[in-house]
Amino acid sequence: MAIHKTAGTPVPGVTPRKKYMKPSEVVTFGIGLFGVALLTGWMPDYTMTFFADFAFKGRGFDPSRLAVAVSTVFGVAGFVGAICELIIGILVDRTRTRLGKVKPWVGFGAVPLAIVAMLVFVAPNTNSFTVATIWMFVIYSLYTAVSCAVESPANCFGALCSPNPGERSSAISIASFLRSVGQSGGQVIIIVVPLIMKLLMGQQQYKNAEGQGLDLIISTAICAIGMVIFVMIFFANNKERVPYTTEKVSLLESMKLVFTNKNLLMVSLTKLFGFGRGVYGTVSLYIAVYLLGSKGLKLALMLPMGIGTAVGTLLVNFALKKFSTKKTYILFCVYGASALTLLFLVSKGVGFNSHLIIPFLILNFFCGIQHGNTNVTPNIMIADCIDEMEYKRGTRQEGLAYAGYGLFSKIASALTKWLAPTLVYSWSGYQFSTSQNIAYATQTDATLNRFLAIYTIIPAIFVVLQFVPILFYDMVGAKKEKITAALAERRAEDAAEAEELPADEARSEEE
Amino acid sequence: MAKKKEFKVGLYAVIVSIVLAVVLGAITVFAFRTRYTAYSPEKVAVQFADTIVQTGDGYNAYKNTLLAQNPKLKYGDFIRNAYMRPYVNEDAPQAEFVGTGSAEEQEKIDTVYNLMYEYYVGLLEHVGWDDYDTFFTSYFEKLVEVRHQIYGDDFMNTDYMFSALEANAATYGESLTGAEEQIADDGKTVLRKATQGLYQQMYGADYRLTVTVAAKEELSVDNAEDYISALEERLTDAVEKGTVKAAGDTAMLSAFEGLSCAGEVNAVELLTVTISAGDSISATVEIPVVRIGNSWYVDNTNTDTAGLYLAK
Repeated sequence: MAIHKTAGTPVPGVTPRKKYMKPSEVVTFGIGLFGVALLTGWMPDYTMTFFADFAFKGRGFDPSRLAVAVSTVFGVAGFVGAICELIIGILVDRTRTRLGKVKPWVGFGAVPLAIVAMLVFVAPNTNSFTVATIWMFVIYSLYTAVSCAVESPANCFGALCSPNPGERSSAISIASFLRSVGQSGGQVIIIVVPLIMKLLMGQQQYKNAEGQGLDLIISTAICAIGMVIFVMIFFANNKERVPYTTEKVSLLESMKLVFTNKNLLMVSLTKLFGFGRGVYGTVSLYIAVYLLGSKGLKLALMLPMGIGTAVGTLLVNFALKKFSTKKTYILFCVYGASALTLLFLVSKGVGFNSHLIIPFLILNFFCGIQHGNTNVTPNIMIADCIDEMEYKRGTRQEGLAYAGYGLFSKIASALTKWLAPTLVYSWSGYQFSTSQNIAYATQTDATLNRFLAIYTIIPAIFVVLQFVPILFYDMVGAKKEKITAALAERRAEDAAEAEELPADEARSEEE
Repeated sequence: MAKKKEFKVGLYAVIVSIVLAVVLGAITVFAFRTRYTAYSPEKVAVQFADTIVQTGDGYNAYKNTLLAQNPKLKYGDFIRNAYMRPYVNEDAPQAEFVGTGSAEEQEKIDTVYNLMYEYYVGLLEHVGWDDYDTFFTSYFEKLVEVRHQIYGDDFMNTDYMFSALEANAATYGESLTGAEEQIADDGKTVLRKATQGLYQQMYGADYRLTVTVAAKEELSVDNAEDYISALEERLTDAVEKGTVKAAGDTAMLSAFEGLSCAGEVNAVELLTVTISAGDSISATVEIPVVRIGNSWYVDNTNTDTAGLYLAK
């Protein structure tokens, strides 16, 4: 497996201040990531509803069996995604072409990605549950693999676009911003397509078409074409300029490292302990359907949370100046669990009706704040753990540390992908629509209340579980200060030695 | 030695973009044509008939008919504006137990739904969904009366009306298909026992009802013109009847006026569908369909669906 050296890694023989990228390249790099996110950003949740609610409507499948099949498909696909990321990493390492290492994956991978994404929404016309289940497994695992083969290399192109760390950092920042815009852009298309369909087909005909998932098919086609065009612009205009330095990392070694370092193990365990906090993402689509009236309005539902996350990131940085990483992490987890519990209580009080919309959206903003913590603090903790390991062993092993943490993260993500549909389709008592002309069936109050629980109280439990390992994390306070000081001293000594060495060499040459 | 041809990235990008746009467009058109029913007269007729045959749901079958052709109004909105408005009374105070989620509230809801179900079955038997005008009017009028009797209040809104009607339609469907056992969260308590439906008694436990188009006749221009004239008369009658009911209520009036669509019909076909239970044919029904724009609709003003209600 390869660990990509990103911004900040000095490359020999390179002038740090020289600009290597044309301004248009910075933009087209962002456009490329925008294109990929335009399709991949919304696919998982909407594929889930397509499989469960539209693909086999009217085929007479037993709803409970279908619910189990969908949950298993997504759980398996989660593990397929984790394995694919490891394999793609190795394959990218071994890629040697004139175009570079990463670009061919993105430029050529966009073609199968567009076609496979489209085929996800073209279900076979079958009355056999076995055929339907096999098709879901095959097509979604294929999509997961292909999207991984494009998305992962695209995301690490930033490490190769320029040898100048400063230029690289700003290119990555701009591209990351455009990638986030792309993720929302896909959801905007899901809102706009129904509006156009209603205009062209009439209200009831649109409802009939929606009942068969046709709005999703058209949205996918638009996003897929957009993805191809944007990726091709990137492919044609961008160059890889940095020799792709890689550090060979064995999976076994990385696991060994995690399990032999208590603090790194605790940070990694937060991912596993908190794997269920992501289930809100799946149920948010159904809350959008039953509370706001349309699946396209998931974006509107998630927007306050997104803003909350951005604000949360700023607040975490502020908190980290006042408190240790451990205290900050626990503080934000307690806050997050409380905000989610409050949202749950308010929702229960108001009931699942139109009066809930405004309080729900407002509280959703406050629930989003906690995500700033999970985005920032663990990364700082890992960096601290790497310092601790360097202090103890004398070698710095970023690659192994991030690979180990990454593996925990991928396993947790696979578990989330299994748990979310299990809760939504089985535990909640969700009723599938059997009518071709009805997109989503009417749900009982008990089911709607469970949707709220999946969005609020269940993630809250996992948020609490998430900070349990951090209680045993001790790379803080005096210990951290001592290690930081010792490492600084050690580095200063190394630097002094490095300066003396050329002088000694010059002297011996003169002699 | 021949010089190796250089890979032209720009050319590749342009070709890929164009080819994929065509391929993805083709897949979309294919998916649309296979799944969307309104572009095919056969699919529309089959879906209309199948909805009634499988679950006796004449209410939802109307989504494939001329009642759903108004581009500005969904079928649900048509019912809301044309039939529910006269009974809506949201200013009236509600009974104290409403919204508490208590056992009492659940019991009252169940009582209303059960009483209305008897009435629904009666309407189905004596009026039938073909006369939707009488069906909706009678049902909602009765619902107001039953709610008042059970709840002791005069409150009424469209959500309540839809809930009752849809619950009754679903219960009727289960009386035909049978219902599965429902177990509570504890995994032991049986909330509802499994029931055998009328269809299972009639056709056996593993019955399978299929609807297919047996014959299709596209009317000639002259015959189509005659058909459209007759349709116009039927629709005018419906609009006039509605106008009287509306008594100046703009939304109600507009809902009924939206039924006038004979002028937009550009083709007419007569389809014969057969309903088979296993190998034997249970019924044969003629379903006329008309085209407005590119979409086909069942002409509900000229369809006798009695043969599709197999359990009647």
